[in-house]
Formats: sequence, structure tokens, C-alpha cells
Amino acid sequence: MTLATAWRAWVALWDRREAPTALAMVRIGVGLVLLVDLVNLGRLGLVTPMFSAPPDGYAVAHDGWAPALLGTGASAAATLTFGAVLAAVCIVLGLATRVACVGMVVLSAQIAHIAPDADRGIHMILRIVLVILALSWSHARWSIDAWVWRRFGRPPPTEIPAWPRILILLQVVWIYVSAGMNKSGAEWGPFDGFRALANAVCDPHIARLSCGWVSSVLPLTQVATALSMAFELSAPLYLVYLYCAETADRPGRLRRSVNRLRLRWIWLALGIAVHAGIAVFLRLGAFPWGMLALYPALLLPRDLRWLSRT
Amino acid sequence: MIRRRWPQVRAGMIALAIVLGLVDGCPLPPPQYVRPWQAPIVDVVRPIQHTILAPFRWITTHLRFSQRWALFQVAERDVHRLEIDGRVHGGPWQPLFRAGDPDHAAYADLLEQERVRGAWDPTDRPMSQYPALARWLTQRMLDERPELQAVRLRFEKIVIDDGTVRGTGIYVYPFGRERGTR
Repeated sequence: MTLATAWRAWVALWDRREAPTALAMVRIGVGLVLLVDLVNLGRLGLVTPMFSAPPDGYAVAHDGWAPALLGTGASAAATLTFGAVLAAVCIVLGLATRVACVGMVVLSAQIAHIAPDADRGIHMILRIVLVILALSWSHARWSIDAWVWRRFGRPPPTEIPAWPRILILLQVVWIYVSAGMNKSGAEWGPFDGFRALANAVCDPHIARLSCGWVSSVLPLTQVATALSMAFELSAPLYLVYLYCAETADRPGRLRRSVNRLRLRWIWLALGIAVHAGIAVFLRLGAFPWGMLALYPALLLPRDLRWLSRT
Repeated sequence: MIRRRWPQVRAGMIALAIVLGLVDGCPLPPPQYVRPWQAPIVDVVRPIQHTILAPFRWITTHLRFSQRWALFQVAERDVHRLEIDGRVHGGPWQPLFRAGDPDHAAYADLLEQERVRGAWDPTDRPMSQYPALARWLTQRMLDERPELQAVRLRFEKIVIDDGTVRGTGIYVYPFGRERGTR
């Protein structure tokens, strides 16, 4: 393959078009996760403590636009949070979607500066995804924007650029690979007997349940640790599985084996199991749900064709 | 012209974004954690990484983006357990909250919220917002529980061993507050 051919293939990859179903699902899922996260803070009365400077709360001094415009007290915390809730609602409903996505990124980043320890990995992940969604046509389906356009006789496109979904797919794959590479503790590998998950479900700071049961199923937790490491580090192979599925009509023994063994679906099922396990056994807030909200981007357009008719 | 060339321009910009993301996500250990055998590699790669990313640093700084994902980096046996005790005037310390202990669960809803936990759950050092959180929390407890004369937070070092959690009796990162003090 010459450089010119490779470049043409690269351009063609990012010039694909597809139904907006997957991106619409990601938009709604991400919006819901952010909304629940923020509403939960309000329900627990944490908005003022978390996002206000002392004595009202424990936020840090930050010289961004929010403290300059709104101050650092309880009313500023409420205004920022209300703005973020409004943006999340708009993202879910697909109302002024692109503006809402940008607004949420700006507000979330500001909140992250004010309360850096409250900004978890999932919040950064969702900020990056929202930037991509802002550049996409995720609102071409299941959105008020689409409904309004239809009312004005200008229906949104039935096929939209696929590059935002592919970029989210690559982002998710990189998150897993990077997380796998950065798992530096010996407990994640054979040198400490794959004990990471047995330790995690007993850590009183994050364990959701009492862990008396762990000793009786220790080998299972070790298998689960090894599987979750294999899942993360093998994430790039998912791109190979996808390619094999997409080009199933071409010849090749490897392609046939990958498709026959359903490796793509096994990897996806493993991912869902990892996040479901986290949600059941650990208190990690929005993380498992936020990651699962991105999973529609991992599918091929044909996997969601049955939804495209709605 | 631009419209005709747009697919190429877009593909180029995406390629640039991916390359920058990979450079940012290069798994270099933080400066304080570099092991001697890693130093020769890290000393070469880190300045290159900084130089490449310098023009784009404003994006990652203002929007708090990174492509370095250290999710659940460690799950060690040796961890900490937060305890919060209160004391009435002249009395002994009484446990109010003990992480993972349903019998001492005052303020558990608040403290166990993931985003709040981020401010107190230590790694190999206390979190940056821990002193501010401890000041705010102890004041709130004293305000809401007038019978208390003092409140303290501290972390017991614990050891997790195949499903059992064993306290060591060693406490770190204490923070205490007497009523009427700042």
C-alpha cells in the first residue's frame, strides 16, 4: 500500500455517513448520566459545600470566569449547578443540542477547577465526548431540534457523518488501553495473585457490600481480575473484530474465525459485565453508567438498524 | 475550494487530534514516582512530550482534558479507613462514622458520595481538598450536634487479606476541632 492509497483510505474512513441512531443514543445516555449525577448532588445537599469556597463549603480558590462573574459563595454554586442541570436536560431532549453540549463542557470544566477532587475520571471522559457530540449531528434523531426542523419543512438528514461516532469509539478503546497500561499495582497481575478485585470489594471506602463472602470465592475474583485486565489491554483488538465483521463478505481464514467465534460480541459482553460488576460491588458513582452510555458508539450501524426505523 | 477539500482537511485534523492525544496519553510515571531504571527513558521522552503539547496546553488546562487514564490504578492490600469521632464535654471519643461500618454511619450518605469521597480518600498522601473538607465537615457536625465539644477525623491503616479486613491501630492524617475554635 502506497502512502497515497493509505491517505485516501484514511480520508474515506472519516467521510463515511450512517444513520444517527448510535450518536443519538450516546447523547441521551451521556445527558442522563450527567443529569442524575447533578440531581444527586442537589438531593444530598452537596451543591453549596462542594462548589462554594470556605466558610460555606470546601471548594478551592480559582481565578476562572465563574468566580469572577458569580463570586465564590452559595449563590454562585447554585447558579453553576443550575446551568449544568439545564444543559444536561437540553442534551437529553436534544434542544439547542450543540449549544447545550458546549455549555456543559464549559460549566463542567469550571466546576472541575472549583472542586478538583470532585472531578472524577468519568467527568473528564464525558467532557471530551460532549465536545465531539457538539460537532456531530447527534440531534438528527430523537430530539426536539429534529422535530422543530421537520415542522419548518427542513427535516434533518437521515444519514449523518460517521466520524464523531468513530472518534468516540477510538476514545473508548484508548481509555481502556491506557487504563490497562497504567494499572501499575502488582495486585493486577500474577506477582500478587490477581488479587486486585478481591482487595477492591473489601476496601471500606468504596465497597458497597460487606466482603465476608470473598474468601470463599477467591479464585473467582482472581479470574475476574485477570479477565478485566485482558479486557482492557485487548481493547485495540476490538477494532480488528469490527473490521472483520464489517468486511465479512471478503475471504480470509482469520476473518472467518473471528466472526464465527463472535469475538466482537464476547469483548462487548465482557465490557458490560465489568461495568455491571463495578455498579453492583463498588460505589464509583457515575463511572460505570457513563462508560456504558458510550457503548452504542462501539456498534456497527447495521447492529442498530432495527432502531433506525423508529 | 475548501468545501471540495473538506474531507481531506477534516481527516488531517482528526489525525492531528489522535496523534496529540496519544502523545498526551504516553504512560510516563509522574515525576515523583519515576524509578531509577525508568529515568533514562523518561528524561528523554518527557521534554519531547512537553514540547509537542506546548501549543495546545491551553486546551487541556482550561477544559481539564487529558488522555492519560489512570482508572483504578492500584487496589492494594494496605489501604486506609476513615473514622470520625465526636466527644461530649469531658467524655471519651465516641465513633460517629467509620467507613464501611453500618453501626457507625453518621453522615454516610454525604461522605460516601463518590464526588465527596474524592476529597478525602487518600492515595499515598492526603487529597488536596482534604484540609478544607475536614474544616467544613467538622464545623457542620459541631453546628448540628450541640452536645459535641469536639470532632476529629483520622484514617486507620488497614490490611485487606483475602476477604478479611484487619486494622493496624496506626492512625494517619488526623484533623481535630474543638467547639469555638477556627
